[in-house]
Amino acid sequence: MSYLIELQSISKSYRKMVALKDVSLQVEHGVTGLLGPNGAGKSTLIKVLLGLVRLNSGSGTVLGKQLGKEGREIRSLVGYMPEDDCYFTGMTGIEMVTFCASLSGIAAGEAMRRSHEILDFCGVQQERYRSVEGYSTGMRQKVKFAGAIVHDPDFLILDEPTSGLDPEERESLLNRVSVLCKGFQKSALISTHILPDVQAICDNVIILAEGEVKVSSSLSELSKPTSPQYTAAVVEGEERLVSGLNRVGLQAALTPEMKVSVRVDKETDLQRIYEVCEQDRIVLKSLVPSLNSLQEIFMAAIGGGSNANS
Amino acid sequence: MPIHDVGYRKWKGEFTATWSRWLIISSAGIRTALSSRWIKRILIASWLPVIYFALILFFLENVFIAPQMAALQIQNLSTNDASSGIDKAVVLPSGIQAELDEKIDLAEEAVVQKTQEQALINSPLGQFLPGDGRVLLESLKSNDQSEMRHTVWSYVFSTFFQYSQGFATLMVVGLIVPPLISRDVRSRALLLYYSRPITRVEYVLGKLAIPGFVLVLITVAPAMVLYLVGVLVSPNLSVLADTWDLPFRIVAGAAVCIIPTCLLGLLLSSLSQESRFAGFAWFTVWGLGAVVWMGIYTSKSQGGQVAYDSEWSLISIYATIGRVQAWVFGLEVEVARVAPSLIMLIVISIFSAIWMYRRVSAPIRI
Repeated sequence: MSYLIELQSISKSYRKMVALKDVSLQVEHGVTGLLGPNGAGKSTLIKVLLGLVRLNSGSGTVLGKQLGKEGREIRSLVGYMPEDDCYFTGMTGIEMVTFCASLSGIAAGEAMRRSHEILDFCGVQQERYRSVEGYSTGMRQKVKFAGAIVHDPDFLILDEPTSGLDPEERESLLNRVSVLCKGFQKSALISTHILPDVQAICDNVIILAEGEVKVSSSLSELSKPTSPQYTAAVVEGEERLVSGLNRVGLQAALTPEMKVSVRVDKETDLQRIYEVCEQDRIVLKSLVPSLNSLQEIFMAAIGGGSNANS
Repeated sequence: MPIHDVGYRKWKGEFTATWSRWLIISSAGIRTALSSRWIKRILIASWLPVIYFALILFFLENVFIAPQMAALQIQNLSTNDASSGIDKAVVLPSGIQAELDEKIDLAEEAVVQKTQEQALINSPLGQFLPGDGRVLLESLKSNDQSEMRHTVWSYVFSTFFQYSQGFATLMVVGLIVPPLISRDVRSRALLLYYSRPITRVEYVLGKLAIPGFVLVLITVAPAMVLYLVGVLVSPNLSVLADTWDLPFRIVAGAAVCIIPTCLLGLLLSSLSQESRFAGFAWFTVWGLGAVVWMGIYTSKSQGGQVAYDSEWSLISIYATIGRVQAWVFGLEVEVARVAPSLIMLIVISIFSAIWMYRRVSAPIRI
């Protein structure tokens, strides 16, 4: 099976500072979230994947191309959207995307046509004829995203793609990523601090901390509860339900979302929950197996993290 | 069916060759540079000296060089005849003898004219001749007609590069180069370049080609046109045989100017996020060096302590380039005298290239 990314014991340090420490990864095609506190090595990992930095040790492939030897080939297959507020000065939106297309190898006239097509897809209307220096942060994000996908890359690396976007624009951008990945079989690596973004569209998650991979797995696998836990939602009387469940010997607690979390060890425990609801006249809306929240996974991965920024 | 589909569509075209990507950077930069009104004005102004120097070439070819060459031909012919010991009265037919006498008269006139030439160069008209008129005088004393013409032409082109085009180079580099890298640093655009199939060397090459192209437009292109005009206004085509190497020297002379100035300008641009600081630094480095050198030269040359080709001239990039260009055009034959200037330009170029490369690599190193 060919992996999207395959890294074997790669290390990278800048003088005395170790940015990546013996990182090994196998990432499958699909949408992958890259999480980690500041200084965890996410930016260095992205530069490694783009073939921009020389590794101290280790080897790897991206889309089957060798890191260090085929950097140019990798970059022609990858669309990168940087985190920084970066742009080409003195250009309008359409000129900037056209310039990106030309740099990626699309011939001049075709580059202009393709750029209009992509800006339409990204929802940039007449603003495309204005100078990028006068754009809002959200508009620059859109143009940067357009620049990253204009050459129809197989693999997108998006660094903080939704930062600075309002909720509506954020959802639109995530929808676009979904369309590209689900509808056009592209893969994406999304580096972000916004955990709901990862939960919304990612299939896999990588959590980096202190230059090491702490977690690399599929989101569905990670979300499986470590203990048999159920979550109950009721119309009203959550506290009465908790006390009722405790009364019959079940471990129950109220979650921050005002739901009732209850440990279910046996099949008969579920029956006891229904009985308590009936006795205390509580209307049950739902009773579903609990999933680990990404925040819990993240905090656990980085060690409880006083340094976590999420 | 939608009238205008705004959904995503796959792109199925062919990519251009990867080696040519740096040309995208260059062509975009050149378009921006040439859209500047000031650059257009400088371009037009830099072509005007071609008219002046074309007139100089016409003047030199038709007033000085042609009669001088005729005189030299007669002198050579007379010398050869005398040394052969042949009695012309016996051997030569009377018609040829008359013709020879006529040519000898012409030669005598040419000698008189040569004296007048010196007077002319020292006259107010001579003041309009570019640069150091003594070089011209020396060349006019030469007995080798090809060497004389070559020296005169080389002198004209060297002066063309050093004075009018030197000033245009200063202005063009000062206006075009400062924003080239500093703006990319300020707007964090370097990563946008490097995330494409482009190397750092290609990025630098692309940026270097922007002032390089404009400088070619104000140095090599007008010099080549001047050369063609000079050939056309010459009285005979022997000028081609005498000056065939000049186009190559023009290219080499332009390279001597373009490479170090562009590299130094780009280095200054990479050192700051503010293009105005880079521009200020450029004009300071160029202007201050030239002013200080001229100050030293004029204040001490009276006492005979500082010659024009003194090592003090190394503090001025302008003077240093001028000395190497003089060597390229064959006006300076002693390599040892030019070596310090040549080494200085090489050091400036290498130092600028290495430091600039480190600066533009910064976003990758961090």
